[in-house]
Parts: sequence; C-alpha cells; structure tokens
Amino acid sequence: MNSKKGIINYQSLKAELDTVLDELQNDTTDVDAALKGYERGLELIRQLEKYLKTAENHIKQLQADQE
Amino acid sequence: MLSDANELSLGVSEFITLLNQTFDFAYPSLLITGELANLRVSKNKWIYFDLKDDQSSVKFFGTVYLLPGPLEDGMMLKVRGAPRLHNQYGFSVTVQSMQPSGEGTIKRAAQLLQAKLQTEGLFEASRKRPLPYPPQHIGLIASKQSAAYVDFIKILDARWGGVEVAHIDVQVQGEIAPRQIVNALEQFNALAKPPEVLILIRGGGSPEDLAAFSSEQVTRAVAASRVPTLVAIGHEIDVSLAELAADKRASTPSNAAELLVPDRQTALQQLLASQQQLKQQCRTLIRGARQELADTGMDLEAVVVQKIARERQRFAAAEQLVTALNPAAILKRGYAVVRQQNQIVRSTATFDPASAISITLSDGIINIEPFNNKEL
Repeated sequence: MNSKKGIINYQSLKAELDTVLDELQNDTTDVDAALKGYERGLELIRQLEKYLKTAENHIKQLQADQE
Repeated sequence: MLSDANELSLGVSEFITLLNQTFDFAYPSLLITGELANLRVSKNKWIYFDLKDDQSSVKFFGTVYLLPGPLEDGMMLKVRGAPRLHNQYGFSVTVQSMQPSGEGTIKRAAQLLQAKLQTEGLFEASRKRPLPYPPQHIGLIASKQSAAYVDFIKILDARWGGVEVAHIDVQVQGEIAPRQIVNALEQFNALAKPPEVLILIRGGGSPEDLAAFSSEQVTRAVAASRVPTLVAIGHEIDVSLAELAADKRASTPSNAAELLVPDRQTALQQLLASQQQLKQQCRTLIRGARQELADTGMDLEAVVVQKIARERQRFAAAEQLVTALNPAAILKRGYAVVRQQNQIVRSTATFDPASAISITLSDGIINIEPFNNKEL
C-alpha cells in the first residue's frame, strides 16, 4: 500500500461519499436519483471499509516484521 | 692593599653582566611566594609589583599577559621568575608565571575575575548553545591518569557506547595547566573536522588544585570555543569560572557523561513506548474512521427511507383522492347510472320513454324494457 496514494484515494472516496449524502438530503432530489445515490453511497462505504481493513492489516504486518 | 693578582676586578657593567650570568646559571627559574604590594600596570603592557613578608620585600617585573586575572594588594601570590640586575633600575625578578596562592587569595582573585568577566558578558545565558544529544564525536580534555578520565569513559560506554572520543592529555593543576588546557581547546577548535562537543573535566581537589579552571586564560578559551563546551570540575560544590563560561556545566565528571548521552536501556524503553503509542494511535484513527463510515451508512439509509416514506405519503393522499373519486364508491352510496342506448341519461329532456333502460347500481345492472302502453 502506497500510503500517500492511499490517503489521496481514501480522501477522494470520502469526499465523494459526502457529496452523495448532501445530494440525498436535498429535498429536490427525486426517488430515482435518491436510489442511485444510495447504491453509490453503499459502494463507496464498501470501498472505504476495504481500505481501512487493508490499513489495519498493514499495521499488523509491520508490527510482525518488527518483532 | 687595594688589589690582588687573583682578585676579580670589574667595571660596573661587567659586574652586572657577570652577576646576571651567574643568576642565569644558578637560578634560571625560582618560585617565590609572598604578599602582593604596590602593583602597577604601565602602558597597559608592563606590570611592576613587590612581594613581601613581614621582614623583606622584593621587586618583580613582567608583562600584563602573565596576570592570572585582576589582583589586588594583600593577595598571596606564587610567582615563578628569574632574578635580574638591571643596569639602571636595579634588582628585580622577571616574572615567568604567577598565580594566586592560599585559599583566601584564590577565592578573592576568582571573585574579582568573575566580576570582570561577568561585566564582559562571558557568563550570559544567551551565549549558551545546546549540546548535540547524543554526540557521535567528542573531544575530551583531561588528565589520562585521573580518576575523572576513567569514570567519564566508563560511564559514557556503559550508558551509550559507540561515541568516538578524541583525547588530549593535559595537566590539570600546577603552573603549566592553564597553558596546556588553552592549547588543547585551541587545537580541537583548529581541526578541519572538529568534534561536536568539547568536554573539560577534572576530579575534586583543593582550591589551589582547581585554580587553573578559574584562570582568565582558561575561562576565556572556554568562552571563545567555536565548538560547544561541557565543563565539569571537582565536586558538586566547586564552581569554577570555566564552568560558568561553558555552554553546559556538569556537577562532576561522571555527571558530565550522564548529561552527554542518554542511557541505552531508557532510550530503548522510550522507543518501545513510542512504538506502542504509534500503534495505538493508528488503531484509534482507524476505529474512528470506521465508526464515521458506519454513521454515514446509517445516515444514507435513513435519508433514502425517509424520502421513500415521504413519497409514499404523497402517494397515499393521491390514492385517497382517487378512491373518493371512484364512481363505484358513489354507486355504493345509493346513486344509480341510467343509460338508454348506451348513453348516460343526464336530463329528463333526453329521456325516451320508448327506449329500453339500463340502470347500473353498485352491485349490478337492471335492464328494463320500455312499457308498451298499448299492451297495457
């Protein structure tokens, strides 16, 4: 995991998720768009979770290497 | 009988020359201790003074560079010099070196020198530079035979190890000590790649033993060092002027080693603690991010569910309206639809008594044939 690239990736995913959430909260968004947004939001959350899991494993790996 | 064949007969100058040659041969250097009197400085270059005891007084002559610091009449001085008879000014001792003698005088001389150097700003806190921690290359000025040297090296190695020590062996007491210490400081400073820090140490001793480290030359050399200095002289209670002029003072030579490098074991423990902290912080960070994600997921769902519920509400209202407007519901309330020839009869004017009638009720249709009045 390239940490700088990883962070940029994490930040951009997180930013997109925030945008999706903002759009969903907007009263003018219709149900079709809301459903699409919801799907995209879940996908982004899945990717972010995967990233965090990888980060956690990376820390464990580094610690194991140290020991 | 005015002369004898074997007797030496000399002119005045010859006599003086002979006497000086005899002095040079017999007493090239003498150590004389006495009380200072009539000190005067001429042209900021020459010094004249007397040393006396309760019975006698002797004149001395020298240069200001030999002064160990500010002096005042009444001080006990130990002066090394050569006796000389001048052809015009008479007898005097030409000073080679001089230093205060006796505890009281040494203390007083140190006080005067301290006040003078203080005024010059040599001991200012703002002059103090930080020492590298831990240094990799140090310059040590100490007597190789001293316990101070052994203690310092032993503690340095025990605590940290791997520090490159360049050592210049010097005498740490006596007349020659100040010159040797100053030379060592200058020598280290003149190196193309000087050590990162200079350490000047000496173990405990009497005020006279430690006097070199309160001399003006050594104090100035320490203050002038380009390389940062750490000075530890004597025991904790002894404070020399060189220590005051140093970038850092240690109470003892052992303490100097302790200040200079960290303890390996402690450093290792700190490193482990930092590692643990780092790991913990990363975990907390990830946990926080994960919680935030979970919250966002819940928000996301809530927003969509809410939106759908709102849509459903809007839809339900429409449904009610549609239901209310459903003709079947109206029929249920007892209304009927009358048709003739598949056309709804909306007015008595369009009713045709001769045509068949179809009446739609809520639960079915009644078909009525026209009445035939004739048949009736």
